[in-house]
Amino acid sequence: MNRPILSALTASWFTLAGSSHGWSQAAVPQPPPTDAPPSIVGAAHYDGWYTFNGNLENQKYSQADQITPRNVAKLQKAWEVHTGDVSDGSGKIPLTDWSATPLFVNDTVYVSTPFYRIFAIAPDTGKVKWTYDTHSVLQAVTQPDLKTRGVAYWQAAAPQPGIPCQKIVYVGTMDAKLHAVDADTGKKCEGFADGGVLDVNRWNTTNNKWPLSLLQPPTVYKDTLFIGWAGKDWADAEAPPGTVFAVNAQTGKLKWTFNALPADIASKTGTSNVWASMSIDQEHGILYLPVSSPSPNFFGGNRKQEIPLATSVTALDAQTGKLLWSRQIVHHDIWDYDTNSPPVLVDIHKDGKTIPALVQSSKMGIFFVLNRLTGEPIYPIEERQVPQSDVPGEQSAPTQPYAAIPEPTVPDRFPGVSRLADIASLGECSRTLKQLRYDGRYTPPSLQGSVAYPSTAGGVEWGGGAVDPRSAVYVVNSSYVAQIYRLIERKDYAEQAKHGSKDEYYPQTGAPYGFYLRNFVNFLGMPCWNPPYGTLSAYDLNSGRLLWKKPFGEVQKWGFYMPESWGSVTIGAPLVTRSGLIFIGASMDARARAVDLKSGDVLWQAQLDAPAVANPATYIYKGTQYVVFVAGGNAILKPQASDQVAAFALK
Amino acid sequence: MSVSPKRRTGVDILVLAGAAALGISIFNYFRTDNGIHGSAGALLVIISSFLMVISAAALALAAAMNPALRGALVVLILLDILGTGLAAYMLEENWLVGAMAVALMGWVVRLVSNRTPGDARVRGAI
Repeated sequence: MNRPILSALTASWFTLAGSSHGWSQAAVPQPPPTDAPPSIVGAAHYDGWYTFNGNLENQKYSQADQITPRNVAKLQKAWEVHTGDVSDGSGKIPLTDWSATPLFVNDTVYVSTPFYRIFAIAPDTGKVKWTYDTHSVLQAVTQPDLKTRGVAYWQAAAPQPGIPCQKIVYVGTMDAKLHAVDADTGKKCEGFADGGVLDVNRWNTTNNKWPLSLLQPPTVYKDTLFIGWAGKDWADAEAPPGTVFAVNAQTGKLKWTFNALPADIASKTGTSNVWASMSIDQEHGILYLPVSSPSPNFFGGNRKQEIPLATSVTALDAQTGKLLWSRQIVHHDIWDYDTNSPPVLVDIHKDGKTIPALVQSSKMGIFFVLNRLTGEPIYPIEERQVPQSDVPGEQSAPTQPYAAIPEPTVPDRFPGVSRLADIASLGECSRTLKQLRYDGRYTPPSLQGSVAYPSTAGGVEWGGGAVDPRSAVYVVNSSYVAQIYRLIERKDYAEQAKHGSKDEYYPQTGAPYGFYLRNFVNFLGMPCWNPPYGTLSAYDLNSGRLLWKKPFGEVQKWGFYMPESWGSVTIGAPLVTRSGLIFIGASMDARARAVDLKSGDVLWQAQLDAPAVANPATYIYKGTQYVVFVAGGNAILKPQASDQVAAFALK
Repeated sequence: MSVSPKRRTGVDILVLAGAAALGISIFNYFRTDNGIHGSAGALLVIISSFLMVISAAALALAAAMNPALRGALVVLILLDILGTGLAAYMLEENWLVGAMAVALMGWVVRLVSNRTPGDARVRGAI
């Protein structure tokens, strides 16, 4: 589940990181998402940014190549917009976390705000064309903060001028309302669902202890919207089952649904929802779902039977919703290791063959490279024996899937106690570690307390990776966070929670155990484990080889930057351009960076108002390439929020 | 008391570098696009720069200062320079680092400069 990795982390150090070929015309022709040509995964020439991940294959790749490693140092701010939709949480409105990928399509930049408004922005000047207000409730209904990850876009195969809603922008809200808005005018599309608003919560009928939240924009393919949702994490053992809804893009009419939970146990567990985005193989009409873990997240005694689709990457027929194949990446998940990002689709060349592949990243920092048509591994996946739970009522899985190729970003062993943090806390770190259980990867939650490394904070977060489809070079940022997990018997939970921080205690109501979770930090908030805390890596998927791996970003506390070699925990993904550049925000230091794809060297950076925890976007408009960052911040990184959209271009 | 010109020059450099550091620190605290504005670290270097200016000015102006007090002040100024320099480095504020380098030069100039012959009261002072 999309548990905001904790406000508890806010107390810690990182509280918990036009000249392109053929494009000289005035306006960039937009790809028609409704009838996009059969994909040669990423080969189609396009340098807009029409989905959350740039394209439906989730490659975060652009053909734009005006900005190059040679000239990127000259990049300057072209325009910026401040939406006004920001809250530091000190008043009635909850804190805002803003992770909206700006879309560039229909000659317009579209972005939603954490107050659930849409801004339509001129791509070259930053002038606001129109805004649309959902008038959504601004309350932390399910999540602790107000958040959005952006909008989705659909257009008719042959849009007719003068007819409204031939091009539609969609935005979801915290209370599960999906609004459809005319992309040209900002007026509501009355023909969509009920007067332009689809209440997805109407379908929330099983274990509906809380409403659903539409924080991730739908995935749009042909005339269908694929809608997942986020919920209230770690609260209940029995929770709404993680249904994916496929609806008509123009009418909002339900086409089909998909449930990852077997019907016979849906009432006594829940979630296994899809809260991240999805990817599409357009040539084969396959929809890929990153399916999260079932509830409760840290105890599986109520769901001992196999739930094969939980914490998996699952392929469906996009037309019918029929299951094609699924591969579970964590068995009997009791770590909240949700599959949290859609797979990246790319063709790789191996042993003289071209293989239709996907790369599924994970919170564990492990990468599963599969044949995307069959789900079979391209690089070996072994079942490794893992530590077993000693918690009464629990029955942990004896083995877990492990892929050694490509090399996981997060090492298999805890990196040791930080001497600096240990000395500064007079030995608190080492004393605490001695009291905890740690047996390597997949050490289960325990009654005495366990070290989780990697933890639910990742590894790789919801942004996932990016790929250059020509070379199959895959780039991904990763975090390294140790947390302490402790189950608490129900009879003791209320008393302990009463005296503890609300950001550290989670009831798992309905389970025999509540849960305590915090970052493994000392009383000063310093991480008790050795750095790095965040890296950026590049892999050659054709060989599975790691090309380079470098600490990325900087930890910042009280304004002071820690050594670059430490890196930063990151949220938000990179993008890759044809010219061999990586653009990424994501880090705690609130900087946007351009990185050389070949070497991993940082070639350019700019200061933003808050951490750019959204995926960036790039596009060419009127002969100029722009790179856009949304700098909204996320309390997981540090308590700094903003309402800034900033576009950079060569001058 | 008379003070050697070099020693006076060293103190003047200290005052000027401290004043520059104070100005830079205040600018950094309020400038909103530098990543450190409003931070505790930015405030800290404002305070330390201010103390440096006051201390250096005291060295320059208080000719009849007790030698022990003067010595203590000189040591404290050195600690201030080093601490502010380290803080500036961690704030990634190169201009401030530069100002501290200049301040350190002033401090060294003052240290190595000859005292005026016969000035017994400064004997023992750094």
